[in-house]
Amino acid sequence: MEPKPIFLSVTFWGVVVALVAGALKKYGWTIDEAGLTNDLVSLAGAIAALYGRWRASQPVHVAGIVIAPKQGGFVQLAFLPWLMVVAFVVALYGCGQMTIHPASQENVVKDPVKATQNLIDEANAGLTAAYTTVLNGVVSGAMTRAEGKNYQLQLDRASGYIDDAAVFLDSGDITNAQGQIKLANSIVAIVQSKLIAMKQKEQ
Amino acid sequence: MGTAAILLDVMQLVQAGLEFEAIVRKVQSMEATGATAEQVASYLKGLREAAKKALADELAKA
Repeated sequence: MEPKPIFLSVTFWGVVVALVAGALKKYGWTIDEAGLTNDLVSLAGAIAALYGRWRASQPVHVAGIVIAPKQGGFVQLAFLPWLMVVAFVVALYGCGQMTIHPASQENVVKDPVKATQNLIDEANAGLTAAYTTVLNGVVSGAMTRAEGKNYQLQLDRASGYIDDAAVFLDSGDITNAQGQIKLANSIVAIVQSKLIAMKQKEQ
Repeated sequence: MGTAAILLDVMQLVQAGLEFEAIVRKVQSMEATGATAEQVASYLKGLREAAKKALADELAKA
């Protein structure tokens, strides 16, 4: 297998993009890593093509008309602008497709319905765990029944918000669906932090 | 359901002493066998309702 330059490697650009994306995320921005990686590989490929033509030893022709002579170096300049136009149009079009957006909107750009359903799924998983933790606490005697009922009330409220979110989602109201999910998650987060604190206190 | 998000939940819930990995494995196996998003959602909602009922039943005891 022919070795290829590292800058034509998807893995290489994937690592570079991952590092850049990690840094950007600290400042509240996310990038479409797969899209950017593909764009960079395409750009590297275009640059490699330009370089290859620069060093070409064979002419390029279309339908018998020579559009680039066989000599390399500066005589290729007549051909390079065309390649550059194609390369940059492709690169610009690719960058136009690339999405860079605040992290808070990360899940709603490509498929808001699917992303919102994922949030509902995650909230349900979190609620399941929280209910189970409270149950274990009551059964083991780590918490009183009164405490258990207090947690139950809060978790039931969160469950209601998630059910409302599903109804909003079914009717296509993504904004209100996500609002309900946020309410539910804030309750679950508070309950979970209390439960974790209780567990740590036990230990 | 995003695996990373589930794992994040797992990290939190392991601290709370829960066996949450079973849920993760189940969801992953459902996704691997081509379960639809609706099926995964239905499974997770059913799981939540089961946990909710178990707690309600326990607290309803005298």
